[in-house]
Amino acid sequence: MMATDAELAGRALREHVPVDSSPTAHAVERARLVSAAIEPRQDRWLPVAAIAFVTAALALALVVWQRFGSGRDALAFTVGPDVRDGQVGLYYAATADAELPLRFSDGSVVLVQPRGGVRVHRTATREVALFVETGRAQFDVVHREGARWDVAAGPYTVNVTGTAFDLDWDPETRKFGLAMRSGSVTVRGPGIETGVVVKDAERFASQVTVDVERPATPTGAAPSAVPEPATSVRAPSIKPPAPKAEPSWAELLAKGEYGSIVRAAEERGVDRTNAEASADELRVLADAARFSGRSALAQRALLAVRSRFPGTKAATGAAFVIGRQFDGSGDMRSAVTWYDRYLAEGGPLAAEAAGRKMLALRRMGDSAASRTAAADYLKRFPAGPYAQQARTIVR
Amino acid sequence: VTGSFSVAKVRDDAGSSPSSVVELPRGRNPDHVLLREIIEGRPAAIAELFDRYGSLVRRMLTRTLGSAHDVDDLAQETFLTVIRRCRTLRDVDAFDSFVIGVAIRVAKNEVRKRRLRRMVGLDQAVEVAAAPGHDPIAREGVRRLYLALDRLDAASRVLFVLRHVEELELTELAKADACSLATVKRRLARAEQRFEAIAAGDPVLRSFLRRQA
Repeated sequence: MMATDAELAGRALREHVPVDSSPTAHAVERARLVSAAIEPRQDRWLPVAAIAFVTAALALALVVWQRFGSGRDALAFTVGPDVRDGQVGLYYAATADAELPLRFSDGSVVLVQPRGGVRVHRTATREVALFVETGRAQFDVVHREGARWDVAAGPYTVNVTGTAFDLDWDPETRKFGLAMRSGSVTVRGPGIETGVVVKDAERFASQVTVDVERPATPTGAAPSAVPEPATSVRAPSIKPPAPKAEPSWAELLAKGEYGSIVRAAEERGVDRTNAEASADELRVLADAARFSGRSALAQRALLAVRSRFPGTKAATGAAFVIGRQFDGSGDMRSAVTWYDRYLAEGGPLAAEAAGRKMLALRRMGDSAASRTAAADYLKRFPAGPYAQQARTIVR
Repeated sequence: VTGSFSVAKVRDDAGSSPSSVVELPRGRNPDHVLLREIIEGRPAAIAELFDRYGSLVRRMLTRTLGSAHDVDDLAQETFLTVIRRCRTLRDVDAFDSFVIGVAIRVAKNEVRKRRLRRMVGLDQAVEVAAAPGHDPIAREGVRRLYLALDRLDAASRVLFVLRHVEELELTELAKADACSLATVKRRLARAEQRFEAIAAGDPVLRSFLRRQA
């Protein structure tokens, strides 16, 4: 009465393989993609022989590089006045009363100011990706041909080729500040994907605000939704930001933010959610709960779909998923019941449900019923995914 | 970040230079608009593409390959391919499947490349993601699970992971992999049988899988 090895493997990998990516890492990668995508491509036709030659040469160079050269390629860095070797991925925090220097092998220096914290995300031959997690850091980046630094703070990224600047990031207030000392940088962030160039002695200041529910503004009163601009900004014509809806549960699900969906449902009240949410929202909640290992919550949402939206595709689909849940938990009798309901209602996954029902009956030890189910399966789905197993059972 | 915000850029000598304030609220475009703007090379559309699918693609790649090593680069490769090829997409409603399909191809190629690198001695062993915490049994179980998956061919491995880990529907997989539903079912059944046979020969893996029941 157990799930198949394949299903158990799926469960294990969902539970044990970490896939988290921090919002800052996401912002860095988003900015990297935008930069790469908007660079002009140099598509040129080359004869096949030339391509083959170049490919072979590159492959050879790669092998040589991997064998003999890779150890000295990535930029190295040291940390602190006692010059300890720095490690990619570690969080380096300055104390309350002293700066913390990070010195890179190309001569660039990052001075983390007291109480600030940074993390070097990636280093390569000519690339550094660094997160300012909190506080201020002074950057003196040495210009080198083809070199690139991506500095991220919250949702902002700063693309640097060689310059000096100070960067401030306060994760509490979400205030971001950048003061140039020399050279120029490009700042990107949500809504400024094209990038804002900041140069010479300019300063860039920004603040991210998140929409919250506010009481209605009295007629004639100034809108109160305007985010507090950074202190250095004087903005006589500032307008309130356009209202932005919270991301839908489907969007959160697509991003793998299952926990956010489950939390939102629990904060609203599970009973209330099940009573008021749309069929689509309930299906998304059920998926999020299943992916988070919250089987009971998933089942309540699916049962709500069944009871509130009878006769719909959503209700039929819910029957199949409930069947699979019981199947996975080893309750084969209930699984068969739900697969039967799904089959009776004629869902598009009939071959799947019939096959699973057949296997569930076999696991229950009901050989007569499983043979009947197998014969029925072969009649309806002779080339179905469970046909081979059905033939074995019939024999 | 989903909130609205304001951006201001000023000079240090604010008295002599005009200040400017730009407000840049973000929204979600319908697929056909997003697609058109990606083709036009609009940075905001490219960013939206990454916001929509970045986590999904990263998750698919990490779980298929078994480690986060190079996953960021592979995700970039996936999206750059999507951007380059999206003008060939005929059915706008199939945009999700199109993105997943590109990720599938990138994952398959990477599985093959890693296998080749191990064969020629450039990589030493199958890399696996570290299980969170310090549970040595889970860590070893995950390692053996990926060793078992590594004995499947690249296409079977990707299909197996997308079906059983990501729980994608068969119809969705068929659409994304540009093949018939029957083909997906046949390949999946073959992959499951092969995996179960491999697992049957590894008592540690079997015991780990039983723990998940």
